Amino acid sequence: MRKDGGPEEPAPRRELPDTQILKLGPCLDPENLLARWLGPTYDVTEIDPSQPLLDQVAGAEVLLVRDRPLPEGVIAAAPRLRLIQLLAPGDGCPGLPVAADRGVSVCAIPSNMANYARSVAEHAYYLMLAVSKMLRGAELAMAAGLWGQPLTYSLDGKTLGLVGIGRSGRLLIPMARALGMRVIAVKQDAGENARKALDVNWLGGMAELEHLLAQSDVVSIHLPLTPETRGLIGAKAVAAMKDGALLIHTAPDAVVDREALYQGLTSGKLGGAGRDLTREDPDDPLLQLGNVIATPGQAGLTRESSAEALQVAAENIRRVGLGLAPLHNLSMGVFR
Amino acid sequence: MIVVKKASPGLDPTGGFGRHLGPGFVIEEYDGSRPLAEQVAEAQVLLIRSVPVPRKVIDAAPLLKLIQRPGAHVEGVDLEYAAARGIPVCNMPPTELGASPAVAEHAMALMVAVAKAYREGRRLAAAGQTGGPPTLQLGGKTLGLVGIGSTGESLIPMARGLGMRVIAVRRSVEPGMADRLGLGWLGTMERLEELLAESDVVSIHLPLTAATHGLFGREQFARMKPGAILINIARGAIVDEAALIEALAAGRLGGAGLDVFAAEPLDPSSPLLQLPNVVTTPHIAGVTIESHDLMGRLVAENIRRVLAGETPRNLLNRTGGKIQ
Repeated sequence: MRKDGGPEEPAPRRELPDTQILKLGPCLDPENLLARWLGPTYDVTEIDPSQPLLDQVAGAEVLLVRDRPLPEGVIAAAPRLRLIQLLAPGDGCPGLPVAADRGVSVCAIPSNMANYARSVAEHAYYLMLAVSKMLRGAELAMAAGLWGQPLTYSLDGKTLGLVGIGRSGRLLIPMARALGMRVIAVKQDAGENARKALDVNWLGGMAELEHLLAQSDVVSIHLPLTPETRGLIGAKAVAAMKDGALLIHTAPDAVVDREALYQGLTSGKLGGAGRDLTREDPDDPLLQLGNVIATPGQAGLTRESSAEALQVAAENIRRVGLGLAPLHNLSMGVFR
Repeated sequence: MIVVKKASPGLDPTGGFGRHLGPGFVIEEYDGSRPLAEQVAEAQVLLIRSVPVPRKVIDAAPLLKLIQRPGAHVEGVDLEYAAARGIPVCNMPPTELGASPAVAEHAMALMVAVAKAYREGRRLAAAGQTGGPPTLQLGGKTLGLVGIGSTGESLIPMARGLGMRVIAVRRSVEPGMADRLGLGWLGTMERLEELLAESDVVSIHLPLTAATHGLFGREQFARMKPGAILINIARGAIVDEAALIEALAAGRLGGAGLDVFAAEPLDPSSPLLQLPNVVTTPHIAGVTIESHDLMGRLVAENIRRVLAGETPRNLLNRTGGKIQ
């Protein structure tokens, strides 16, 4: 009986032992594309969240994860492990155990994959609209039988400020402009070439962050997490924002100082926030606020981008099976 | 004192209209527990929305000078009788409120919220979880507009900016229109079935008429792509709600984003408030902070005109009775 829920297939004639692939989460491959693409000599299973994880990894040769650090002890409990395959670009998640000394490859998907960046941009766009159209407040109003309220924010003619641009921010620009928004941005290399290449109304360097914050009705963060960007959006940045401005956060959680954001939202300084959660924390106080819309780590995760990432995974699994080096290897230093 | 009576729930929720009227006016709230006719004896101005204003209500308001809808749609008002009594009935066309882009923004918000699994995502996030099910990418998908109007026209460039292809059907088609609007194709209402079969998202932009009442029923949902999304910011009665609920619950449709309902306020026990793949808002498309402020100014202006004996703006019952 296959544990992945896929169709039962006749037992294949086995010359080689099955390659054991373990999906470390319920939403990594819900349509079981890997099992379908790889065929019967690969044993693709999903962890059973009700059982201890370390008891389930003993036979695993390949572990599939999205972009989270592996729980403690997993690598030691998996002596046959050869590949840890991320289904996201590896740049936003430092701290992944690089198990090179064990001969385990840690591979990501290339960050230039078309659907991944588009999916992040669409998610930022979604959060911007969901917050400005007060979807959470509307839900509460309907539950209370109130009609014709709350009043919503109009985006036409407003200013969107991008903090960092990257591939997702670049795709967000035309989406926002089609809403009639003015788009301004700060980024690390804000030279002449960047100015020419980007269809923005104003582009500054990171030193001009506060100027951008003071101009923007909506601020969207598109930075990787680095020592410089950790907590970059803190109390000082919140104070520099326009009164009633909205903050959209699809970048790694730690770029925004949670306490500063909480203060900004509860004091009435900020109008609302949209956040895609990249860190599991049921005690996050922001989850209780009515002007915050949070999503469970779904930015970048569409059926389309997921299928694209799983194609990379399937290719790498085949390569490892054939004794070839897997592609997009983080432990090779290319992506570090 | 001029008594301005809110004759419906959901009017001026922030109380901002009073600021534009200034002193000398009393704004009375609507009381949902009593018939409207029992609440209008003192009223000189009725602000209306969804509650009908039949002859009986007009007769119960001997001081009435103006019936004003701070919005576009006027339904259930006895226009002729009001005219015979010399009472102007006025609305505010969306163009005047600058509401079309705001309504289109709202349609976009509902569309992306359904595509990105708003309710399910919120449920998982509220539990502090990360890692939800994959959502639908909209770039590269097809949006089908049923009717265009001013809101649909504003919606087209927004959807194209998201990388969507847009197709449409409307009552009449003029040459060159498809290109001017940036549509993949444009046909008359006879091509509705074709549009339903081709669209990943269908958005309704029709007025409510005898011909559009219940236009979307079981048969239309069956013709839509499996997993397709329905958006309705137009009028609730255009959609057969029971058939929609059935199609959503059965997984025939991928989801629905609804700002309007057959009966408003929506029954709190409606499955539409519970289904995981539905996003609902309480008839607020276009009700932005900005447009609401403008509404307040236009209400004040029409009251001033009527009190000064001038013709109010956007008069709907000019042809009847004493109003010229």
